Amino acid sequence: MSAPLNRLLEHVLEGEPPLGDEVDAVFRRAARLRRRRTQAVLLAGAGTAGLIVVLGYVLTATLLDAPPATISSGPSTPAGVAAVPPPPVPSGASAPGPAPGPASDGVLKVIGPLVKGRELRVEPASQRKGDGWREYGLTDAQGRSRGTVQVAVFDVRRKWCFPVAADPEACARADRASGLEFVRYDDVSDPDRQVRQTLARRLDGDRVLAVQVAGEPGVGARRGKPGLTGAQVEQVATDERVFDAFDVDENCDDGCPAFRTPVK
Amino acid sequence: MSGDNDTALREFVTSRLPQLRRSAFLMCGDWRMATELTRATLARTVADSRRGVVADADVYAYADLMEACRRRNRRREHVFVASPGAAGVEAESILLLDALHKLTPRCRAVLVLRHWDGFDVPATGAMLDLDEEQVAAYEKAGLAALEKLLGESEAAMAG
Repeated sequence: MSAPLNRLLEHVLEGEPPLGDEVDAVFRRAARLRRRRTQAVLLAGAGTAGLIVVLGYVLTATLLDAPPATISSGPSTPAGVAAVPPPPVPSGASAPGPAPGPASDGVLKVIGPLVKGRELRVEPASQRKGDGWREYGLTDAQGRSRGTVQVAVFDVRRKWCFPVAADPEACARADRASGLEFVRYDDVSDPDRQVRQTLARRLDGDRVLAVQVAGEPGVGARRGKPGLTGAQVEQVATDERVFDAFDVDENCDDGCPAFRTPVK
Repeated sequence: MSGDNDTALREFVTSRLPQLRRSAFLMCGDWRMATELTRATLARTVADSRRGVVADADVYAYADLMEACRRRNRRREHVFVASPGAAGVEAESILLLDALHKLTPRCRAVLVLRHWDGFDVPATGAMLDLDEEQVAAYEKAGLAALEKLLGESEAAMAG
């Protein structure tokens, strides 16, 4: 059957069409095939790279969003609120530097909501800090400067007393609230330099906290008003979280902001 | 080196294309489809040869072509399509093609490779991924079926 089948098949193929330029068509198709394969490889590579980038981003974002370790801020802290201690300042580091970010800045956590409630905001670029002090610039909705908030902590002697502006030898009578004593020193008599200040001291410690909110100088009485009210300044000064925002070794000495009522 | 390789590939394509196309026609019964399948097979052979992944171009090309024909023409019924402008095809040729396409695709492939292309049993087995015993069995069964089908067709025509 083999030989006859071979011969029979030859007859079947009669009427075969001419080849034409089939050889060139084969090579053109091979070139297209090669291009498609190259594109497929490149696309697969780009897809893999994109996938790695996305996974990296997701992992990084997840890890960075993890809450930092917190400690209790003490008995006077409201339930559910935890304070984050500020990063330790190297000894002797008194030169001003950029302030820590909101996530790690305990002072900013306290003043931020108060400032926002008065339709102001803390200008990130204006934040400065040093050994024992922090400073925050305020701006309004139009981006105009609305003065500063300055917070500092001082080591004082056991017999230190709250000063009286008019009499350097006298001691002011302090108010008390939840383990603290404090005195408000507001001076808005000068329309070009309005200041609200509160000094506070823990009853069982030798450290004094000074909070001063000054309006923008030289812009008139209205725009020169301090960014916080006197009561709000007092609220900041008597908030334990602000005390705890400073390291125990910090003391406002070199580069310390000038307070209207200095702590001596 | 690349130029020499391209020259060799062009010689390969030029020499194998007619025979491959005839084999494809015997497998699918349509000259246009046979031309298309042959072109695609040889294009893959050329592209893969340039990548250096083809050990034996003949085995690679025939194996690819037979697989392509099998995928393209799974139906057992056959429609013979002559080339455009071709002269009248003899009735015996149509009967043979019809009988050939009543076989299973694998049976048909064994008969085409063995009796038209003239490959031996091991080469046919390599192209169809069969061992030698299977090739022999398919060949025997295919020839018997073909002989029977042709006999029946001739009897019908005579009657």
